[in-house]
Amino acid sequence: MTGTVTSSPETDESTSQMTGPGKLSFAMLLGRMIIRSIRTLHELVAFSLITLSVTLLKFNRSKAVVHPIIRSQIYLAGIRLVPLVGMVAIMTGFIVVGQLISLFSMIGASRYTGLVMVVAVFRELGPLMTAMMVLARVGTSTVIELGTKRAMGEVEALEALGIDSIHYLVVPRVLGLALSIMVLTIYFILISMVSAYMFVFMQDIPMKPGAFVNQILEALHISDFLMLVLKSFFFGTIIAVVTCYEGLARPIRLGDISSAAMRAVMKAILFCVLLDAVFILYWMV
Amino acid sequence: MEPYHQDPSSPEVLIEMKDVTVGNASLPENLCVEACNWKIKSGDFWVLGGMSGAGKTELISVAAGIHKPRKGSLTFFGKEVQYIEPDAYLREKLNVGMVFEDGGRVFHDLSVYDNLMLPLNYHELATADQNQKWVLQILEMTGMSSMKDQSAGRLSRNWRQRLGLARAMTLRPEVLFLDHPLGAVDAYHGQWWLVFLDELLKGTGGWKPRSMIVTASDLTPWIDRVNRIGLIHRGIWEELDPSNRDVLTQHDLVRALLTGTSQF
Repeated sequence: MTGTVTSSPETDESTSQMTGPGKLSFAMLLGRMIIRSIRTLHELVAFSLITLSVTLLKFNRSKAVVHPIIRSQIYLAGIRLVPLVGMVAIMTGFIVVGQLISLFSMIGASRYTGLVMVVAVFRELGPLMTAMMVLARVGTSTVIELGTKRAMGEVEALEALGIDSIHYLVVPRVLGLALSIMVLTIYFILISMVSAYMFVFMQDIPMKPGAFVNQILEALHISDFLMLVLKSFFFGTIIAVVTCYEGLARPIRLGDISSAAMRAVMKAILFCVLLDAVFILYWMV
Repeated sequence: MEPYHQDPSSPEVLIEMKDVTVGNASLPENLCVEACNWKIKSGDFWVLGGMSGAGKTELISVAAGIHKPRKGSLTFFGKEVQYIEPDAYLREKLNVGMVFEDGGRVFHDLSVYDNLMLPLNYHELATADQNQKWVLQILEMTGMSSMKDQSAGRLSRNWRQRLGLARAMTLRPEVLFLDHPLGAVDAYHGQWWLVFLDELLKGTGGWKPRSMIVTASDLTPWIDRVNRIGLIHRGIWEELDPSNRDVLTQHDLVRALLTGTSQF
């Protein structure tokens, strides 16, 4: 006998009872999922750090090429989304905030109007909804655009010409999206506040515009402004980095681009919500 | 057709591979070429022959610095790539041009003119006027002046391939790699390429590459033009002297690549 193991039927049966094909495959599936998630997170962090270093080291290089792309990204992710964000902000103001305020006034809790506005719109809905709109409108198209470039070999062509693909393709998108989401969030908040007051006004709730604004200002702190800027900036950065990573970082075929776009959307939502949770923790503590 | 003559007074080594192993970019576990020792010297005009899928594209991608070798060392203009600072490496890399196969991998969302201006503007090597003048000259040389404002994505494959060549010329590289330049073009354009490359080696437009390398699965158009032949078969690299006709005619792979025999 040289290393050959023969097992009895009893042994096989007991082994299958202990591990079972179902249990084993679930454990394997879970294990694979965890390993894949850790690997993806590791790659994403590495991609983010490379992007950060390229942004810092090469921001002033090749200005004639890169800066116009940043401007065009601000146009695509910011200016072109003004009507959509405005519409959604009006509806949010009417449906969510206006109704809440009118309900508060019915139960005699009108003094909480400002606090509701700050917590609901300023801290949560504003940054998150704006980020989701930009993700849906620009994030997906970024994956498709960059994935197509990668699949068609244009990224290799850039490298062959000595053009840093992170500098040329990723940095303008990160800066463009981060700045656009910051500005659009402020725009969203202002519009939803106006529309919330319009709803209050139409419901004949006795509240003057001055009192409405005063309540909001009283509920606001300097840290809210700082957190708003940070949050929206990081949402933009997350969306840009995740979508660029999914489009560019790995070899991709044309047929895989749609699934890459889907993965990017899911990951971006997950990371934005996780970041949001971190900010909530800050406010709770 | 007179073969391109090497200048014996300047046999400077421009690119050198020592014991290089080349992997497949899309299948990382596969190796294409092993233990390749290859010197590209000033005045060399190479044709790299091999059956389809032999690893010609992968080998020149490594030689051009686009992909890294799995093993071995790559030297650009006397400096080992592994040990060059990034900025110095970029300067050396700009001296190596690449024309990709199958439509040139042009930037589809840019116009023909912008495809050529992009590398020049990105590297800020000259003034805007000088760059513009050079680009217009290249467009004239390649017969693409009338299409300068067209979107590259709307061009036919023949013209995209030609745009790929024009784009590679913008940075005036000293070594020019051309991956299957005739692979995706029709007979008319194929003839234009052969005549134009001959002119390019003579120094048209005030610039000429010091060395040129083409890959091909059909050696017929190249065998009388080149002064060096490299072959890849089953991962093994081999060099031949095209002037030695006896060796060429007795070489099974060369015969197969000249006659189009697929069962080699």
